[in-house]
Amino acid sequence: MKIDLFVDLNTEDETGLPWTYIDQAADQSVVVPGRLIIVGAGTAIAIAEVIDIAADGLVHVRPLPGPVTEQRLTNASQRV
Amino acid sequence: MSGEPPFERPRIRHAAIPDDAWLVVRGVASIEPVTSRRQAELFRRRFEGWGRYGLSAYYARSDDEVLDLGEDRLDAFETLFVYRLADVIDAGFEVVPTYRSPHVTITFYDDVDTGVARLLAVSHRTVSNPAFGQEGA
Repeated sequence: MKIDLFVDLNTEDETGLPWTYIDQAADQSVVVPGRLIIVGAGTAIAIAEVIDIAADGLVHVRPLPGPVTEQRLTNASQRV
Repeated sequence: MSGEPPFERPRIRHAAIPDDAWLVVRGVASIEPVTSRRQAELFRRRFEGWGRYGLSAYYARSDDEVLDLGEDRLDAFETLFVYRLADVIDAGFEVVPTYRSPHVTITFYDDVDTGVARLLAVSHRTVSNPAFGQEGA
């Protein structure tokens, strides 16, 4: 599946969450706080909620555990 | 949106990495050169004042702790790379206890491609992650 935002899912910072920059998104318009998107890098991807976007473009995401499928993305989005 | 200024460096814990912490764990997808290079550059961009490249990893002290990391923090990774801490340090990297235990940052100063290549060349073993692909809560 297409990755919306490059995130090395090994990362974490003081928030305990993985981080990246918004310019690492193929389409920055999909990176909106509260929205569920597909994040990751290479073969490691996850559905994740966008938590915040700082003034300098720093983005935190909260990955949901489990595999990435269209059905799970749809179901999770309906719960947000 | 947050207007906070960027940190000069990541928060470094007072407590050192335990002497018996001999494992440094990263997911295989994150060890792929293109991903490692890209993330190392993002780290340097974020902490420009610290003047080094960095890659996130975790320490563990037993195979059970490796499996716990696979379940708790690295469930997106089908395979984990496990390094001996001493081997990473002997290869010229600094392993810094950053943020919340057991998170660490593997740092290096040389050219990003050279640093990533050096890390990939460090002896390691691979561990299949049983938590990969499991449905979450």
